[in-house]
Amino acid sequence: MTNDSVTTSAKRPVLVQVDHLVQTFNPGKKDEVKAVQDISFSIYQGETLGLVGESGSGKTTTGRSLIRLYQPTGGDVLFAGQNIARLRTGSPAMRDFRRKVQMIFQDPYASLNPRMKVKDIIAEGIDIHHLAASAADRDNRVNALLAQVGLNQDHANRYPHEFSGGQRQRIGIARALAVEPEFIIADEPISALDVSIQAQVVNLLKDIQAKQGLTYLFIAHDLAMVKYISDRIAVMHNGRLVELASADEVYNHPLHPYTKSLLSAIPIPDPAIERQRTPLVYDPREAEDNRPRQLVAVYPEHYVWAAADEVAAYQAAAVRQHREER
Amino acid sequence: MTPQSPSRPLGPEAFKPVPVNTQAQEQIAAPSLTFSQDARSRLKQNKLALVSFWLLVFIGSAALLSLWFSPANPNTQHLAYTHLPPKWGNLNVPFFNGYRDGVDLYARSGVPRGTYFFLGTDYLGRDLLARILVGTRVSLFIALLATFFDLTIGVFYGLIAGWRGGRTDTIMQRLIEIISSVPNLIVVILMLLVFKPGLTSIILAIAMTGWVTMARLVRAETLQLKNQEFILAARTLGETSRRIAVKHLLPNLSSTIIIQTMFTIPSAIFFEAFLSYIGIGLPAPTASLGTLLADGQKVLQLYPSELVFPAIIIVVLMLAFNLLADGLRDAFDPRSSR
Ligand SMILES: Nc1ncnc2c1ncn2[C@@H]1O[C@H](COP(=O)(O)OP(=O)(O)O)[C@@H](O)[C@H]1O
Ligand SMILES: [Mg+2]
Repeated sequence: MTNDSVTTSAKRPVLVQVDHLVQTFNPGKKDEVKAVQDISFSIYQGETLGLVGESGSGKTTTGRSLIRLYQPTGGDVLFAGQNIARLRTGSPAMRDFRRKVQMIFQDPYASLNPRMKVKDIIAEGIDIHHLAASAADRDNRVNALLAQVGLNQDHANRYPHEFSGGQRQRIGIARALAVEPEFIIADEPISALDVSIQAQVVNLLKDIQAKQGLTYLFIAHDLAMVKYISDRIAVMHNGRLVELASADEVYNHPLHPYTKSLLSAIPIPDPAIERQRTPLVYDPREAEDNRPRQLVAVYPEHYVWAAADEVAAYQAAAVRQHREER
Repeated sequence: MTPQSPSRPLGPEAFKPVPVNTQAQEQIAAPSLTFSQDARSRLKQNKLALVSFWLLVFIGSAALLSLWFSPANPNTQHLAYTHLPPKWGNLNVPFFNGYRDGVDLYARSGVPRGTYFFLGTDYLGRDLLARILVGTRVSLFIALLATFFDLTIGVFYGLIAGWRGGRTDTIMQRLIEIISSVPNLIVVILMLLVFKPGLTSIILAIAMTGWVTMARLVRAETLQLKNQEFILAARTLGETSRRIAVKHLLPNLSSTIIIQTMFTIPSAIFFEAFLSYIGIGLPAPTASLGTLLADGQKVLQLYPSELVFPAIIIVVLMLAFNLLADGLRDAFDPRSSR
């Protein structure tokens, strides 16, 4: 099977299609960083795709390339069939893209302009895209958005520094929702928050998705949280996708050794099992033998980054795991 | 809370969860302060900065008002009244009563009754107070110009270099290094080859070099700001670069800009005074604090007051601007102090 089968397994409508995306920083210089090295995947309409991997694996870079904060070094990103890597700044198509795709950021303390009132932060997109008919309409929209993310109306005239991390993150969510987007990239939206607040924000995101039929790319380094919110999970390592399958499949039948090591690091809230848990250590040199590898389907809808002669072993392992379960 | 008395045992109702009012959890009690309100209240606690501020307001308005209400024409010479000591009307305050070494110099020079020189006269019999006011006005004009170039060229240059980054930034940085490697004095002396000594060459010199520090600071901070997530958010919303600069960059740069202006001003004032002092600044008969110091210095041993008065003004100006700048920096960025 080839890479193309990954990106076009058309069963549901595809909203975002990533084809051989490459993102290199400072190309040709001494400090060149190959942050994303040829990845391909697609995101279906209405689903949540979780993107996990250790820090530095290129998740943020992938997200920012998808939203054209970075100009991709190579490859294509198609949003609703349109190649956004080729959009010109300021063109009508680009303006449309800037409204339909939004991002929720990791650091709630850096993602809100400290010199702006909350209502102006939330209304920024409304102003840019002229979505409000009048000042009153603008205020109404801001109030509705505040209510939607569970904040009071009298918060509108305050400044960000008066809010807690969780509240700030919800302001960031309201800002993204203000332009009525179709696709939201959430870049570790909860990893800077208190554990007690994390569930609140994740559930808010789930609610909004259910109500508005949004599509999410949910980036995290914590597999447990990603499994809770995602339909499918993509595992990233060293700028490459090493495994892609449904959330349950990745969680219960991991195939790639890196995914296994990620899973083995999750503590289990049962002392008996937790005592026996042995964290597996993944040695990245396993995959650095310069053999050509690509994402291959080794089981229905389950892709693993493998060299040609490794495919058979993965297929066998997948079959074995599924048989054991039954 | 009053401690439970041991005699009353806790019933099961004591262990019921207290209902949580989620609306109340989101409540913020503190009054809403904007950033500048916050900074202003911190500045008000800084006595030294506050005194400096009002001193500057006083000196500034005195210098400005003297345009219309000058005590005398600063350039009118009275060759009969040279080197008169200060005299404050008929108040008879020691040192300010027109006597020097026990001699009433006003009477000896034949100054008509009712004519007083509050700070005395210089070697041409010109009113020193009027000349100091003119000199202060020149200094404040220079301050205004330096601020203008800081805010226009300096801020703009720094914003462009920082925002564009990459090769543009590298080229602009090299240019700044070249500019700042030429000493200001040399720039002015080269100007003198083309222009007559005077305000023009001083202004041009400040326009060419005075904004460099501002540009550097603005660039450095823009480089940091442009990767902040709120700027990225603005970009993903489709904000144009120009609007990002106005809406996001400048408000967040404002404290840096204000503080740096407050440091540029005293150095520009000093630069002008220094040039005038060594004789390549403002030409005679225009008064400037520098020329007044130079004139006063020539007669220092005989008539020290002619040096002391302009010196006090320039010292106060420099100190007040620097202390105010320090105060502003602490007010805008509380972490930087102590
Ligand atoms: N703007 C940049 N310039 C140079 N290198 C970068 C830049 N952004 C990210 N990188 C590098 O790219 C790699 C991937 O980073 P990132 O996408 O932030 O990873 P993650 O989000 O998974 O932690 C890291 O090695 C990081 O140092
Ligand atoms: Mg990241």
